[in-house]
Amino acid sequence: MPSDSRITRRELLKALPVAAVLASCGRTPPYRRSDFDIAARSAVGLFPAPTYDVDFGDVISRGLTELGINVTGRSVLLKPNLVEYSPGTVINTHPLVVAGAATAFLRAGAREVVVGEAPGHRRDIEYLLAVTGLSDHLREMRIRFVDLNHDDVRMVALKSHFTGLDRLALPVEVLRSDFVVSLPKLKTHHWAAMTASMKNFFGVVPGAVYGWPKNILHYHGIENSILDLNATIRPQFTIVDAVVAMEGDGPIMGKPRQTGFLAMGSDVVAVDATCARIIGFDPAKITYLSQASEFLGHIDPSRIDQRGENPARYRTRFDVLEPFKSLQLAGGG
Amino acid sequence: MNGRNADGGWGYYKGKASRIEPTCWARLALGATRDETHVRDAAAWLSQHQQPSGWLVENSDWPINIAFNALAAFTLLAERNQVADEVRNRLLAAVVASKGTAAPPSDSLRQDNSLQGWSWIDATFSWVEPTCWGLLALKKWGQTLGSDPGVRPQGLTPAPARIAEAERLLIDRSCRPGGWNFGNAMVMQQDLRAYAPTTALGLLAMQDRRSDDAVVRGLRALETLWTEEISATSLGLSLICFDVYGQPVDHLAGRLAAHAEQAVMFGNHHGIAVALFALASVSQPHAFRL
Repeated sequence: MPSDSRITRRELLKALPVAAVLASCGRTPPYRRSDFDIAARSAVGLFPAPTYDVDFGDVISRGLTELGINVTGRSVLLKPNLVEYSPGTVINTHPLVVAGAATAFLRAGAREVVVGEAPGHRRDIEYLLAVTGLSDHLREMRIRFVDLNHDDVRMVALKSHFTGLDRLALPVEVLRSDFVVSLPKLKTHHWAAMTASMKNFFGVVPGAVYGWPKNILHYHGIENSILDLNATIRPQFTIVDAVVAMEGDGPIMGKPRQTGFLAMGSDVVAVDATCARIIGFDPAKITYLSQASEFLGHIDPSRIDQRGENPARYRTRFDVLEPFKSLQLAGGG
Repeated sequence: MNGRNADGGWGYYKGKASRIEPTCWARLALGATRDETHVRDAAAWLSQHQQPSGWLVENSDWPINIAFNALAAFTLLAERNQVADEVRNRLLAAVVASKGTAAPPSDSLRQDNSLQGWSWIDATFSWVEPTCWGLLALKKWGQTLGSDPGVRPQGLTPAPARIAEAERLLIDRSCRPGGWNFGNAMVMQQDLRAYAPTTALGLLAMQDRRSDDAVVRGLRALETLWTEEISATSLGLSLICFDVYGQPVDHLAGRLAAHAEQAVMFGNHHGIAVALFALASVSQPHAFRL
């Protein structure tokens, strides 16, 4: 690449992961098919939550019941999206959704519920927990928070190799949890088009090993990293905070957009694909969702059983940055 | 002291494995409180983790954390009688030789991607915090050269070219209103926010360039940032910074002292040690005065 050429940051990020490109251009997929056994069909539930005043413990309990989730005696790790704080914005998973999820899983018989996060944007987790109000809720509920950026780590063999990496250090708290739950905020994303259940797992990569920002993931390709992290962690469930989502220049500088629901399911790909359609994206055009549909879950609506509300009730068209307009569904979503 | 591990180091939280960063800060904090025994143990833990390459390695399977190695170099220069010259000098040589990667110019970033400071891990881009620690280590080294010839690795100088380029990088990455983010100052035509901890570190690393516009704006930004970002790390680094710059610190020190109980409850040893160092060092000679 000539040093005097001017490129966009997106082009730069795409140009860097040489190993990832080589890995994904091979004749065989960068994973062992036998490691991934996808059910023939997946269920995705959409449950109304018009504002943050609803009882999220009840809403999420209903979702767990309708989706047939059994966590009796299991240790549950909730992984919210806690990135940055800016008054009046909707960057993070709302603390009431996190608290509601903790309530619902305890009510469902979980042995333990912990909340863990490794912000990639802000190092100062003590500040972030306090200013977002999450620490108050966790203290009140006696829920343990695990700082995944600074947890003990173990090197783990990746189950797919879109990045070209063989292994990554991951926090032991994530690895020893029986039931990992992604708890993201639904947002547009200025590098990955959309962030929800799958992209949320950038936030388990330990900053104390890889730094802030977690540049290794950018170097090896954001979408490749999303795939490898989800293939390796295999989250068992997701609850997407789409009560007020973010459109435009997400994941930090976008604008709030009232959407009024929680999306839930065991197939994170199917849940993200459903959310993508609701906000006007064609999931088949979002590279990481399209690739994930080959081995991690479903994006084809004919393979997704809808529970709760009909997606049509929430369907809208998010404002997206110019480079992502080509990923939108024709006809207004 | 309750958080110290049997191996002489500190993890980020009680019961966690010893790591370079909290051990360095514990060592700095205990040095400020004149706890000589545990200072020696912490220094011993750091030197035990040195590889022949000079780098301190927490686990041979992990990437080398360049930022925390630079912090370790700074720490071991601060109390020079705790480890062998060879340990410190090999570490300094490794830090000097390490550079973040350069990247082509980009239309969406208002910055010079050719500048090379320090990265978090090898073969990645230069970021603010690693560059601050690289600068602090080299400037500390320069400060000690006159008094202790043992700190000059054979064949190496205090790397003035590295210092100059890293300073240019920090000036280049300074946020528009002043101060520093962890990463860039701008992405996709949007200005990014400065944070208190990174701004305080940036100012400490640039303390010998006080008339520079980036430093003046950074200091002004920090006056507001610390009031908005209440944590042991944020308040502690801000206090060290204002103290070094000779600013009034009574109000900030009081706020940090009032926060101490909460910080201990939160239990992050890194934050607690930063706060302890800051409170024990006000108006005293200490490691961060260059």
